Amino acid sequence: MTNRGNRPHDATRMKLGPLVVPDWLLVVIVCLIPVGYMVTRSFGRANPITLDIELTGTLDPYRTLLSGIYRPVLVRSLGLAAITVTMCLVIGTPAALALSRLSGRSRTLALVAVMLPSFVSFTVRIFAWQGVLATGGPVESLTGAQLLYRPPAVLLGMITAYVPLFILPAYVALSRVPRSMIEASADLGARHWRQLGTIVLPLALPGVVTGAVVVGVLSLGEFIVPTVLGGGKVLLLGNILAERGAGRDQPLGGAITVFMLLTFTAGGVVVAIFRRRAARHA
Amino acid sequence: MQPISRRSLFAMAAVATPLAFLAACGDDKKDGASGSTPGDTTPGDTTPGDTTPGDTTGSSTPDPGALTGTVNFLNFTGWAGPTTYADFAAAFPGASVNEIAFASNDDTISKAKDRAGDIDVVLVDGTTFPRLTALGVLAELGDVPNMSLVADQYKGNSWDPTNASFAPTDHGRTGIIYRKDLVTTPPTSWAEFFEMAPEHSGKVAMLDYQGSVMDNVLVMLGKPVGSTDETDLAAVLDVLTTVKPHLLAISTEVGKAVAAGDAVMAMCDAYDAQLALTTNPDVVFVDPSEGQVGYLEGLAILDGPRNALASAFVNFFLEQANYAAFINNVASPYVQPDNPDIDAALKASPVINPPAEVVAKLQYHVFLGEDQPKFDAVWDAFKAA
Repeated sequence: MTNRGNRPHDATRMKLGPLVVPDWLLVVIVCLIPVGYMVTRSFGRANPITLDIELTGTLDPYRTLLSGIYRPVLVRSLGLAAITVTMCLVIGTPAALALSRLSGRSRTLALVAVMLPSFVSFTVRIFAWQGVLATGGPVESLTGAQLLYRPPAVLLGMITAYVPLFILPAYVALSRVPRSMIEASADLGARHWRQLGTIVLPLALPGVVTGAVVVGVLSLGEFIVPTVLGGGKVLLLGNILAERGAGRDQPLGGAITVFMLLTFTAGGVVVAIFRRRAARHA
Repeated sequence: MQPISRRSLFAMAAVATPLAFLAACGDDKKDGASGSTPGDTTPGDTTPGDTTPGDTTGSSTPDPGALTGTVNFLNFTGWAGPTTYADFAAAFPGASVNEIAFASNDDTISKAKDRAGDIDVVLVDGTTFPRLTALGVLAELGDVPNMSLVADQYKGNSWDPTNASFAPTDHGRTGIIYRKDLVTTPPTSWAEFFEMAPEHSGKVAMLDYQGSVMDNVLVMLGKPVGSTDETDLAAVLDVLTTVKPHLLAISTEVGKAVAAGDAVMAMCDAYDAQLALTTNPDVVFVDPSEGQVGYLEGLAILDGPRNALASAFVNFFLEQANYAAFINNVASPYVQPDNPDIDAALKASPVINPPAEVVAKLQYHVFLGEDQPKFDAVWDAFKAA
């Protein structure tokens, strides 16, 4: 039987324990209370005149969300989020890998280049894309393609907005893969692709998946991009949440919140599984 | 009232939060016109010790020196004269105006409930006013002698038949705009507009205002404005989903799209059309032959501690020169037809100053009450399709 009291880290935990309290308080105040508020409202009925909510325990908001009106929106939102995540993985992983292989000044410069767009307001960047994709804009002039106010424009806007957010955690994870392990595998005859597939990516998987979850969460709630680049024709869950859920149908907004929470929780479970597998691998 | 048309949603959201916060942090001790008790809808009534001369019933000119404090004004950003607020502060030393950005009619209701946001004056239309009435948050306008400058045709509305709490400021209507250099057969009616959409597929823009679009389709179909009859709403949805594949965008900035040539025709509000045809002389505005649905906006006072100050502000806003500065700034159809200070160009514009036969066919959006969700569902189905 293990004498847990003799383990040195337990003593440290006891000392640091009270320091965590403000963090938890912050989580409760900033996150749990507002989410709980919305979840509670998902079981209510809104008065369309006064916006008062009567908590009746009804499931009508969920029925409405899954009804024929909003089903295409659910499918479209999940689909666009999935494509965005996939594209970020495809574009961002090699970029993060390349970044992790750089060193010194070139790494700093490359990191700044990746992060530079994030220094400009998200909304400004999306409106900038509107100008780029507009009739007579650079994209149409060069390619002849009219993308603005069409689903590809929404996808383009979401990918370009979120790729940097994917690259950062992926880069951190990739740069922490010990060089010694890569060199050892090389000594044992593993070539580049094999090193990548059996050493680098499995060890960096938690960071890559974390980046993917961040992008997925943000994509699913997106409403600015479809409004500006989709021309109001590409309705997503975020738009309904903004237009109805924050307005005269808070119960519907609550139901959307629960739907998103369940989706994110599923994402979290996937991350946990990947982390566990990666830990075993290490 | 139209949600978010004149300004960008994002700019308003950015501005609204800090302003609302500042308003909430305002120093009430400076607000000299305090004293109304909850439920008291008469601005003239005060509690003992309140020395606000503006509260004297029947006074046509409040003593400027005695009205101090900040009027929190929920308004479309910049929907006033260029110097209206500064002029008010100059006319009433110790008083000021804090403009809070309008986000939506629902947001107005949220802010008005229990005076959240400490708002004194709101810009409302005939669909929001009854909701404020239902909430019991409205005060009477009080002493606003400049109401006499508003033409009678804009008074005595169904939502405020005695003109006790609604001071009309501007109105608008939805029509059709098109590019005469790009459209060979000009549309003259709603029916033609929808029939021509396939011919100009991908070059037609639709307003992103639920009420404007749905009510005008109802007019086209010969149905009552604001009908929530299932058959009528199904017909509206059919029209909208049929035209959707041909739309360039469902947007609040259709005038800009047509002026730029991205779209060749659009459903468009009068004020936006005026801006578009000023930008591009090839833009033409049409009042559809079936008639149109529009809105009448005005100022209302939320009952609170600064009713007298709010009343003075409403009166100031309607004053001839101030009102003309407002209209000349925003180029909106106006409610003071005899105001000599309004720009001659605006008076000459049939878009801003519509002929009598157009006005005769004009109907206002109606308050749908408990039936609103039926209307909402059709609009969402159209946008989700």
